[in-house]
Amino acid sequence: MKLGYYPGCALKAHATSLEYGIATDAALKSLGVELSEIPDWNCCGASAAHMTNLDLTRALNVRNLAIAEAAGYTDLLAPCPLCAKELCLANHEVKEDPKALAKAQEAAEMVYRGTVRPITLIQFLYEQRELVQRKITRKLPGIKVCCYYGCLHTRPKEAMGFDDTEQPVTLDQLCQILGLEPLEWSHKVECCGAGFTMSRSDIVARLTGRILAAAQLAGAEAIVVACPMCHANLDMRQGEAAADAGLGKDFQMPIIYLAQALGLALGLTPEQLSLGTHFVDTSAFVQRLGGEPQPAAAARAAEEK
Amino acid sequence: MRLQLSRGQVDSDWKHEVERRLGHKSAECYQCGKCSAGCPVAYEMFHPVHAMVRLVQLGRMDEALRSRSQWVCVACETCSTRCPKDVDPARVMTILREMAQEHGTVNANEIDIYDFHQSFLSSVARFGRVYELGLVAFYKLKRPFKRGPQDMLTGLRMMRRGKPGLLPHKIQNVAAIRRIFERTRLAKSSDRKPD
Repeated sequence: MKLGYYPGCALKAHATSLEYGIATDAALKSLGVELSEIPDWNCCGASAAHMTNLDLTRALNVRNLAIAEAAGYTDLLAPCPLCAKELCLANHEVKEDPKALAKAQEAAEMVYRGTVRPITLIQFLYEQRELVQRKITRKLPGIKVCCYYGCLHTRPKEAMGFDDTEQPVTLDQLCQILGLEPLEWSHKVECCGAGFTMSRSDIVARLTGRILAAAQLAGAEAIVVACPMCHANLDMRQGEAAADAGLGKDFQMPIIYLAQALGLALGLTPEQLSLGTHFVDTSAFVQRLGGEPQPAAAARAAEEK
Repeated sequence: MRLQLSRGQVDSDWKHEVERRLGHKSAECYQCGKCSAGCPVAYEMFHPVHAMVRLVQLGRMDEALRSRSQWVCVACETCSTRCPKDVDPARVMTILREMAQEHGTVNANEIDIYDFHQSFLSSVARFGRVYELGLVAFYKLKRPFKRGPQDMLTGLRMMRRGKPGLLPHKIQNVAAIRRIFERTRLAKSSDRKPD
């Protein structure tokens, strides 16, 4: 199976979320999916463009959609939900509003006929869940996890058109297929603070603190995410989040990408899935899966503690 | 929210312009407050999101465009998802952000947020993609004394893990991206000065 691929800046090469790119490539490859990166794609504008200039964000995304269309792809995988949301929203808006389409086409100097369907990794794997079930080589032991969707996997609903906006279930079902034990909890779609990670890290600490505390309360051993922003915010700021929540000690909650969990169930090693580059040590999680922990990563984490 | 109104303070031209960009009348909103109840950053706002819609309904341009609220909005879309009248308050916030830039009334207290967006976009305009290290440097150097020491430890811990990369990824057709930025530049609509 060949799939159009829009990696986005966060996953590409040595960005902050390099784990996600590495794990997605590796896991989908062993699933038998060939990812074909669309040529010369540009940044979706992420929150900065969307926050400050709607015409700009639409034009940037129509350029990417037109490139994917010209390359002959219908389904375009965007594993970062921020990219996926911007692509879906632009796609939705230009279909609804011919004037917006004309303006975006003119700015981007490309013609777009509206044939591309951008999808997130959760959506793709959910649609291919029978393939996933067939291909996995082992069930992960029933580790209790909280599935954190974040705000953008299902919103805005008219643009994303996938799962429920308040109580989504698709990621939970995927985790169940992999053998994990998803828990009922309260903060599935609460925002983590996304793009404020540098400019207002106090807001990020407050919001992630609420999410981490809710997961802890539910009894989670790890949180499963499918968004590079959620991962960065939840993984990197646990100390500040604990302080903001008035807790004495750090959460030490491993944050695992769906692609990493999938890769482990497909028989890949923790190294192949870059489980050693997280801020929060993942070796306990890996050990529970029966895998070999990575001594270097564990030592680094212990030293930093 | 208590407001005292006089005829001179109501700017109906501005209100109609917001409604034109929004695609429907602001009077659709009946002020139930569900948007603010679900807003994760309402605690940061003097005027939470339903109050911002109220300011639009009342044509209170100055208060709306000078507010901090639209800048601390995280654009998570919770409000728009839950609005029983499809007013799309998240879009109202975006329109207010655009207009605050056009009028030169970006709230000075939230200059960090605004600068970060601008640093991000200048990276995109320059390379076609985000160059994380350059973005961080650009953002910090705008106010080195205030921003320099922030997140030093986080930065060091990231570098030990090989993040972020040192070199930018530049796309081939950067010229096209630059033209997109030129063609979609916001019009500065008045001679107003920021506070």
